[in-house]
Amino acid sequence: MKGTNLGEFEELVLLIVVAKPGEAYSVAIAKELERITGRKVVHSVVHASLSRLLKKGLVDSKMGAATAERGGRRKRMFTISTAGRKALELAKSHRDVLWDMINEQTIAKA
Amino acid sequence: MKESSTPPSWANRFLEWYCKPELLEDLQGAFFEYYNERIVTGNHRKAKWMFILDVFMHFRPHIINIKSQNSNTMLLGHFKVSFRNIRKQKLSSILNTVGLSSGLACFILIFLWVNKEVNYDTFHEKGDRIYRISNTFKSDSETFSQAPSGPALGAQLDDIFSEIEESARFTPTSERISVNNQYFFESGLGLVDHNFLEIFDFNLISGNKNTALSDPQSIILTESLAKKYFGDKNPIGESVELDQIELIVTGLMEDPPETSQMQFKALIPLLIVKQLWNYPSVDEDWGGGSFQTYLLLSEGTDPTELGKKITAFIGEKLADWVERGMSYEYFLQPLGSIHLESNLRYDYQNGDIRIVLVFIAVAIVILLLACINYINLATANAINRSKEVGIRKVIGAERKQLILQYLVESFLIVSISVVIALGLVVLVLPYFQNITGYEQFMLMSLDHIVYLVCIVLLLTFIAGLLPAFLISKVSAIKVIKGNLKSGTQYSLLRKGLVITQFTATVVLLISILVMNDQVSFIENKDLGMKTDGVVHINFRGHSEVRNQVDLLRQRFQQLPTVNSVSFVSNSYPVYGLSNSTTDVETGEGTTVTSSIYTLRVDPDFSKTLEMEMITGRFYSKEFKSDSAEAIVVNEACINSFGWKDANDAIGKKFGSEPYIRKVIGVVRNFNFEGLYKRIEPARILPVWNNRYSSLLVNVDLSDPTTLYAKLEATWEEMVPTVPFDATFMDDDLRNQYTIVYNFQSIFVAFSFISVVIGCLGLFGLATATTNRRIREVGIRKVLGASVYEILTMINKDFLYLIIISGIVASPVAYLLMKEWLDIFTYHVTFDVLFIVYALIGAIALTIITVSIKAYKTALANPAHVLKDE
Repeated sequence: MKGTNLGEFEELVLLIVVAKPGEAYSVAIAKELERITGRKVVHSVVHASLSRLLKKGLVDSKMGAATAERGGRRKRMFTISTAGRKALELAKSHRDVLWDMINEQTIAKA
Repeated sequence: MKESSTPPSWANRFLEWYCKPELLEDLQGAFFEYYNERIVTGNHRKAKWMFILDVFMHFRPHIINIKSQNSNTMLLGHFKVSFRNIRKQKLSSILNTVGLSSGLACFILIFLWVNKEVNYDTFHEKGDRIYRISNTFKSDSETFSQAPSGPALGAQLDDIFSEIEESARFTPTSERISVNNQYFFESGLGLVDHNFLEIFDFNLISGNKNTALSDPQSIILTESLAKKYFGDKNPIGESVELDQIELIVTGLMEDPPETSQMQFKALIPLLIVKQLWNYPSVDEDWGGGSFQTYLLLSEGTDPTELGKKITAFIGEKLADWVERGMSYEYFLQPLGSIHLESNLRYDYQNGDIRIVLVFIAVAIVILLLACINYINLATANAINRSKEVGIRKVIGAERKQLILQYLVESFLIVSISVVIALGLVVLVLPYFQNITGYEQFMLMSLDHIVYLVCIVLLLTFIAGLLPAFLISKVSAIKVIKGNLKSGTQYSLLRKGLVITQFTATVVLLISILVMNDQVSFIENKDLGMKTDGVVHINFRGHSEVRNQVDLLRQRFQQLPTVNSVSFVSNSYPVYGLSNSTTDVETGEGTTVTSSIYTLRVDPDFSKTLEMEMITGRFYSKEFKSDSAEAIVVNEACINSFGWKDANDAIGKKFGSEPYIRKVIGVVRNFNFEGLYKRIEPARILPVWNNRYSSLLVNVDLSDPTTLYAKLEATWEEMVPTVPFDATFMDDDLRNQYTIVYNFQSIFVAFSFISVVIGCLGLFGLATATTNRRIREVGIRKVLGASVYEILTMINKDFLYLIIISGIVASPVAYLLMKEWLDIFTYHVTFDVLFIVYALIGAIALTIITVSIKAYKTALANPAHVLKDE
């Protein structure tokens, strides 16, 4: 399966799902992403990304509570799955290895 | 405020339609959330727009519900039902298919032709930078624009103006070519500059396009000419003789595309004319007009400005001309515009943008007529279908499903028609090739298939949408209750459409009549000279013939059916004449310098063409002084030079000292340039120094084949080295009008088809109407109405529609035909009777068409008709 690798954007989305438990639905994730990265995030891109994560089994979803501003419609709330957590950890470990290498080099130079 | 606080509902509905159900609630919620947030910031309009944008931004594969229509089985059902309906309503299906397929066939043919016409010279890669330089010549007595320019322009302009990258000349000529002691007259030999193939993209099969034309004694053959001369042998390196000059074949090229304004069989370096025509100053003469000259401009050059600069530059070069009141004004024509927009003196046989537009209009009208048929028949049959619609609705069909059902039906009919139309096109293509003169039509290309699919869809919607909407509107309850009034439904719509259809028919009928009138006028117009029974033998000035003119004349005149023979010098009054400038004495005794058409002929010319002298006499062998002192002019000179009348013309002086000629006779006007152009002043001179180039033979036409054979045999015997190139003058004249004849025959054919389509529709409509009124007719008959009265009653409904059509059509046809007639300088006047004829024709057609069906109904036994009740 090609899909267990995390794209950069997917990783960010997934991190937000973990970081904001109970508030992780598409609109909120888009806004949070916008706030953190400072770049314009379009809802449809987040939605597509969430769909892909769901397909890859990295997140679970269930319908949450209805609110008035949504015209009485429920939100689809996302939580991270075990596979998702593993994927995040794997991605982080790759990065850590690389950062360690970089740090050692800077120390050696100094 | 309140009303605007909800997002646009149509966008919302669109979302609901396309979105997967499991995703819908969340997505919709998200959009509403955004929307409400944006409303808070105040701008309602922007919020609405953003909502719409959101909806469309999410129209993505992972969201769209592909199975939302559940349409696979449903669509299949629609097709099944459509097939049944088509089979059930045989008559209207056949009428529709015949109408649509013949309409489409016309449309496709016209499309193919227009595609050729608008794509002239588009195959040259640098085409957008290539211009032809043409000029307007002005003198004291006249102004005219001509396509070719003086030869020095093409030779020198690119060195003088930096914005001209290259310049090249093209002159088609016809010369005698001999290959292995066989002699041919070849027309369409292109004399060109050495860089011709660097500017224009004609495909060379072998040979080097940069060097093939650099030696003046070389020739590039086209495939067809190479085949004629050398068969399948490789022609490269072979030699051919061009009027005793040996040329080496240095290249082989494809025949020029049909859509090239320049048509030629071979290319020969232009500098050969130094020898061939004994014209050593070919690169130095600025004046005159005998070479088509093309300029390749560098990027970003303004052609209008350049034209002005060239005009000024050449004005200086020709200062002595300017002194005598003559000047050239040069202008540049984009290569791509020449075929359809240029109509100059000595131009190519160009097309005409107006004719192209007329045909596009005809194509659209024919298709529309076929669509109108469909709409009419469909709505007329609606009453039969309304029960079906009612039942379907009761069972639970939605309106959009009914509409889809009808669209599928029209899609099927249109598709079947397209297939039949393609078959028809393939069938008539040979005739069409013959008429249009184009051999190569690309029938199937990817583009064409795409167009075809678009047309099918377009027609499906044009023809199918209106009936679909109208019929599906029927209320189920009314149908079930049987409350539906038959007959009156959509009758206004149908009447409108019938009027449209008949307007088109009447316009076309009037056009056919006017065109026939004009063409027979052309055929029968007295041209001021004899044209039937005159044979023109063109020997292009070869000395073998010139050396024995008198002997040949004698031999020909001995033939039993030959009346007279006249030798002329480049003066065949069919293809137009050359013109040159001379000084002329005016009515007031002053002298003007004027350009004037010139014929050079022998004394038997007027006798041979049976021309009429208005006054004075023609040349005669008895007057030795004629050859140097006399001149004969045509009638047009009288007005042009301000002479009082024909008698006043006698003795007027032409030319300048010491070569003065005095007018000895005035010949009645004759059309030497066809009927497109006005008869201009022309002078007739004796042939100078035996420079004859062709001869005209006046013959009795009792047995043309034998005669032709005898002429040919005599010729072969006398001058075996000169090919016998003889044509009948009336054929040559008719060839001039090929475009008119072709235009007329295509137009008549298409008009005929559209009239037939109109009648088909009318027949279908009459059928539907009479079927509905069948009981009424029965009751009327029981009450004592005669068959005649019933026919009148049914016809009346249609007849007044036609009267309205006639009123609308007449002015339209009048304006259109006036425009068309204006193409000809000599034309018939628009006869109001044509409108009457066309109307009578249309009424007769209607009565016949309607009565065919109505008569059957009127004859029916009322007992059979009424027993149902």
